[in-house]
Amino acid sequence: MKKMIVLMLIISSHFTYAGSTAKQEAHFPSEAITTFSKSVEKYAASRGAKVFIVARLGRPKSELPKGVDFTHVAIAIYSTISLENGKTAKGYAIHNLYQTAKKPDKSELIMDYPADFFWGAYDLSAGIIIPNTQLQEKILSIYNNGWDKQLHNSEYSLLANPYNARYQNCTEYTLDVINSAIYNTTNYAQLKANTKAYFKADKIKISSLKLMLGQLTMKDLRMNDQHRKIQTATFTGIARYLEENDLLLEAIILKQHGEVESL
Amino acid sequence: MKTIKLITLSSLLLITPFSFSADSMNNLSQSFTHSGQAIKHGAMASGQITSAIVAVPLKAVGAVGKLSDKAGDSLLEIAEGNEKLEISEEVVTLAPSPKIAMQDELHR
Repeated sequence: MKKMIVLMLIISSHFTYAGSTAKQEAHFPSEAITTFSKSVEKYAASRGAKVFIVARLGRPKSELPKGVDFTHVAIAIYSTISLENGKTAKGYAIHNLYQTAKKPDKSELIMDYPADFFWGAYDLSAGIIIPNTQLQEKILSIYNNGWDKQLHNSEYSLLANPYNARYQNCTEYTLDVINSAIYNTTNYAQLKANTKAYFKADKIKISSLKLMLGQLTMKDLRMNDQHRKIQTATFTGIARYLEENDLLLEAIILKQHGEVESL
Repeated sequence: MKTIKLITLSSLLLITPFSFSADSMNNLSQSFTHSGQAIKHGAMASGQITSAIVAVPLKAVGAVGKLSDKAGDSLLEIAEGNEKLEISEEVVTLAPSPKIAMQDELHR
């Protein structure tokens, strides 16, 4: 029995490590990635989006639990970009919460660009949520005023519970920025209370055994903010939330060759 | 044989549900030591991709912002409404860290 547990841990650790390193590789030629990332920008710009929520798929979709369509979520903001060659460009900068490379249970805020964002994507498809104009303006104010940094909790958990302040992942952070914009506050207790009242988190079904073993092997899987049912924020959940509150302009999936599907 | 099957099955069950979220990693910081980044650098060298120094977000209408730079102000004029926005053709990417930039210099 002991041997079996040890072997399971070794194998599971190996897979976890492989999962983390696999996404470093580009799965597509650089031209395909840059063309796709530019098409995402052009799609959002054609809709006049000053701000949109963007998501990528860093894993095969077949590996994702029910209700989870993307693996990383962030906020894209139309910006003037000063380039190394002295020129300026107009496009989107993407404001991310990323796990730190050395400590996966900690996170940091990093701004990158669409080509960086989609570099390691498993599938060249993008989730795009465009909030209505009023909410876009309010999200812009968050970044103009530096509130985005006040909303960051560096304690990271893969399955962070969006109803409390203990841990945060990229999707919960995105939701916190949206709610901060809606309610004009960075008071985190207030934001969590509002989230609990109005946001429907997705329930993730995982067996107790998997959870127990997962916690043994993954530092970034912390469950003490959860109760019996595991609840977390998802990209689709954010789209649903905005739609229910008449704050959504559009929620789509843009595919590699320009096909558009509704979320 | 039974034990091996059990181990394999258990491991697969263990790994699958958690792989979805393990993607919140910065592609850039992770990939500098990887061949994928070499491709990226190659593309940069060919002029296909350009490094960014700084990005100034569009300024919100009526925002009491800390930013008062001219770039933000100039974007304000096109910020109202849902009209189509301009996107430059340059593919922009983050500049490498000072450490990597120096390493690249040494290898040239």
